[in-house]
Amino acid sequence: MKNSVSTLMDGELDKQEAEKIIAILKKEEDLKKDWEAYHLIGDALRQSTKLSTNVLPQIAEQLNKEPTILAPAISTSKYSKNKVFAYSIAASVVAMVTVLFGWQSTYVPQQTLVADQSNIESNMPAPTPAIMVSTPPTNLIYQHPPAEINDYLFVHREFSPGTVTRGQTTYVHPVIEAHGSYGNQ
Amino acid sequence: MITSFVSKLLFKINIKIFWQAPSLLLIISLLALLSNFQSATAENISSSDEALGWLKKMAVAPRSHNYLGTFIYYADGHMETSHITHLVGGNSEQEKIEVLDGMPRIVYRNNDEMKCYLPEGKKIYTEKRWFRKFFPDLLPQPFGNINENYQVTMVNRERVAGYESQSILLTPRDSLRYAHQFWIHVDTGLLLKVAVMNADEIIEQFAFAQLEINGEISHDIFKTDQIIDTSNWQTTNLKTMVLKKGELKWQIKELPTGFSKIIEMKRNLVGKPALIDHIALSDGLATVSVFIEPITENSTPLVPGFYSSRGAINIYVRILEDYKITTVGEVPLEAIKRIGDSVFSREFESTALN
Repeated sequence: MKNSVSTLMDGELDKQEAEKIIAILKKEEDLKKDWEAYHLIGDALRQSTKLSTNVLPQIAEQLNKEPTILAPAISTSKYSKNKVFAYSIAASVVAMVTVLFGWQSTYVPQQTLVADQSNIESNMPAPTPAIMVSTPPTNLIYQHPPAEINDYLFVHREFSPGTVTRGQTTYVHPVIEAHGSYGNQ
Repeated sequence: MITSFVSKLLFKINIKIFWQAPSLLLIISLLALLSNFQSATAENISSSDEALGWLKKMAVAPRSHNYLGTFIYYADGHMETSHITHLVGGNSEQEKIEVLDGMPRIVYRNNDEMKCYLPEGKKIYTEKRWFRKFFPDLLPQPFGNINENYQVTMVNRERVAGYESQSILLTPRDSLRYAHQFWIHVDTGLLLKVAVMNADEIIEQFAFAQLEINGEISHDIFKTDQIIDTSNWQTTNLKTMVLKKGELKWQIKELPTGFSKIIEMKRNLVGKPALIDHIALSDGLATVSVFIEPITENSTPLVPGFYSSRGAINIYVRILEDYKITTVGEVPLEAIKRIGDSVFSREFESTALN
């Protein structure tokens, strides 16, 4: 049946046969997927900038599961940046790798047919939505955690490891920022 | 026709690869990412008794030695210096910590009574700290479950603040906690330096720059009101009401591996008329606090999500019915999220199950 689908796609079926296959296509979900895949591959080979199938549902789902950081700590240190953006980087890397591999696997057997692959990546629209998903709208980005969180941090310090193991560092976890309510009131 | 056939054949081969590739790759890439954590976590290797012995020595040291010194906190490119005086006598402990950088803060502690002075705002916060009072009973054997969650190993001898120290590494056994490295004074067991690490990255560290151990310390240092005139300062007493375990209507459904509840209580916070609920958890070293408070008309607008503070602290805010649940702690986001998502109210339990 898959054979017939690809023949249909190539326009090599007569009207009667084509109608029959189209009718089956409408009913069978697996065949529909094949149909979409053939078109996607065709688009890929033609280096079309528009993809006929959304290739990112899994990635989008994955990204939805990832936590979004709303308030990265202000810092020039690579450590804190790594910490804050680790999840979004991870998600984007997964998306990039997956998408690129998807494309590569499409291209591998056809390499001789493709003269120039260098612009594939730049033409590829896929990673953009992936990054968007993990980036919160700008109006939600806090420079600092809301002030009231400092109140929580203030009382949490009692339980910080310092209390049990680092006796001499109790109370000094510097979480009271100047903007916190404990600092300003 | 031949070209068409060949290309169709290739299509068919590729279809399989193509559709499997994304999911396979998702798994492979995730595994590759996870392997970074895996390589930094110790699985089933037991800690050395000698290394655990050092931790025990470290835990009791502040209760038997006087010290006076300057230490530096460093995290996210930010450095803060503090001066500490610590005096023990019989069963009592007195401590004064003065933060020397930025906004002035002076903390006095007399056993379990804490007073925090903020000279700029002319404010004093007082709090009775129950945790320390309960300390030996709370952890029947100090570091009883440390070995379950961390692999404790000896590293090397190093000189810190002019003292010979033994370095001890605590490698987490899973990705729910950070690694810690302690530099412990060989003679007294006092902690001279500590680094909290996520894999190989140092997230925050404390280190003594200068330290005098078991020197003479005058009691006058701890006479707070004689040093500063605080007659027109505003004093706020932070009160807590400790509850029995399970008494709070808010509970945590599934505690992540290695974490256990150490306390549930109600407490007041500045500017909040109602008492808020507070649950504290610990894995023997790292701690997590969960705060639950009702959302009222006067509540500050809040945005659920993840926040990061300085150093190892991570924060997760979520809303359940008309309540705001804030989870904070010195553990990775993964652990914070799991704990925050597990919070439920017995009142809403039936609704949650539906």
